[in-house]
Amino acid sequence: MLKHKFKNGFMGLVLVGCLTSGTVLAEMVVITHPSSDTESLTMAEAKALFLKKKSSFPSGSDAVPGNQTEGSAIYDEFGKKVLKKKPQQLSSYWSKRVFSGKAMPPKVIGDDQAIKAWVAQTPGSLGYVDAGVVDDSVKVLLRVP
Amino acid sequence: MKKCKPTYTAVVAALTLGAIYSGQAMAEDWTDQVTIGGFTSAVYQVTDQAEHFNGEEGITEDGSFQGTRMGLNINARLSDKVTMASQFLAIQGEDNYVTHLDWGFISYALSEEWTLRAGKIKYPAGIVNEYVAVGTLYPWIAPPTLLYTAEDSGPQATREAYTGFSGLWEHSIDDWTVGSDLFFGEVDLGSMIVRKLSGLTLRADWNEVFQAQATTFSGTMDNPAMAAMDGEKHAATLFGVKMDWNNVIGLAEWADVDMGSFTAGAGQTWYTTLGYRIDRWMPHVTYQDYEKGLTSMSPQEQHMTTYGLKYDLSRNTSLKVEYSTIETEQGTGLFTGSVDKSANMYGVAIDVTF
Repeated sequence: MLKHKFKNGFMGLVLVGCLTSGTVLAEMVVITHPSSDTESLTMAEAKALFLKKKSSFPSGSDAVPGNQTEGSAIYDEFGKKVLKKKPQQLSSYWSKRVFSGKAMPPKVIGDDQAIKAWVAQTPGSLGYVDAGVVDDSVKVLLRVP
Repeated sequence: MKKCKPTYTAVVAALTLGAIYSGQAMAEDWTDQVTIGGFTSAVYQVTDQAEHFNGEEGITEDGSFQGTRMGLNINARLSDKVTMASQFLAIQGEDNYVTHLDWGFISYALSEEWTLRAGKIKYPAGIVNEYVAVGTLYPWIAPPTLLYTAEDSGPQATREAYTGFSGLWEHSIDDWTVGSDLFFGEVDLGSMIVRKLSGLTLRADWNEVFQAQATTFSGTMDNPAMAAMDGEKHAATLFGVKMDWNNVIGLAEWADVDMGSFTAGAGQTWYTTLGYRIDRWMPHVTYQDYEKGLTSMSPQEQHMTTYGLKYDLSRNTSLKVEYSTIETEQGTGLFTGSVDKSANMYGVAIDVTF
């Protein structure tokens, strides 16, 4: 009985936390233009492309990554899960690259809808969005649970 | 830090404007091709000594704003393979701010892993030297002075920038990135030019958590005003490691400098830093050691211990306070004259990137 109450209480807390924090995300997906000859990406390949350590898809065609707004929940979540960096580390990574003249960060496109619209009309583009917004206008290359 | 020649500044400024113009002409939206960033640091430090620490315009008991600066960084993509990068820096001078081109170069991507660079390039010796002016990127008010100082009284293990060419290689495998930087050129220090400078930097990085860097370089000093240095070699070897793991921050670097038969210029310097990140706070401690010309007529030996606290006001703004003790065992070290064997230094700074 006590165990049952504890379980219910715990689930309630989790639910309240999910509803109030606004930072718990569903599945994210990495997307590209439907005309791309690339069918999928590994986590490591996505990481290399978004950190600008690689500039082309595994097929050899040029890749142009676009970013969500810095500081947004999905930006931080993608940073932790795919780029393997905490927000401060990611900010520091790009500052070091920019202020030593070695690389420019991906252009900030905006939120999920802006990224999806940009990817849908830009061949070679690469973005990440909440899986819930995806439709036939873009191709999914990687699912990030 | 030294002002660059006006003619060179004009040439690179023209290249910068040309690059931006080309970017505009090339793209529908020029912001796709050009990135503009900046940083600023306001620094105040004071010692309990009458002599200046770290140069003629350095820190005394009267206090100093040395290190206060503002930088503007412009990077432009001219084509798929060609980019231009530059950084202008305004620093607190004797009476006013002095603006100069910190670095500015053109890059040509030979492949995904190989890049050729030409122009005024940031010196790749010292693990934080390529972004040494950007205060938010390290825990201290200034990188360990006994290694990073640009003053002649220091070890001269690293420099602000060199003019020349660089071949940059970078290879990524999963979470590892390894790279090298083969460079050639010269450094104009005003009173002296280091010519025929060549060097190699090797880097390894695991996910930005562990980093290691080694550099070796050698050049020839052209200094007609000082016969003992003129024609002698200026060589150095540096090793550095950096860690940012589970809120523990650690850095350690060691440098050895050789100036041939000019024994007063030969020396070693090293430091180690340990810090711990607690949410937005980071207390840290650094110990530095510096020896130069121990076999010469003017031996120098100095140690420095710094206790610091960094507080991140936001992702791009940091507030720092520090207290240091400076022990001068032989000579005057980085002081401009005789001082107490044990000196104290206090500092506060705010760093911003934008």
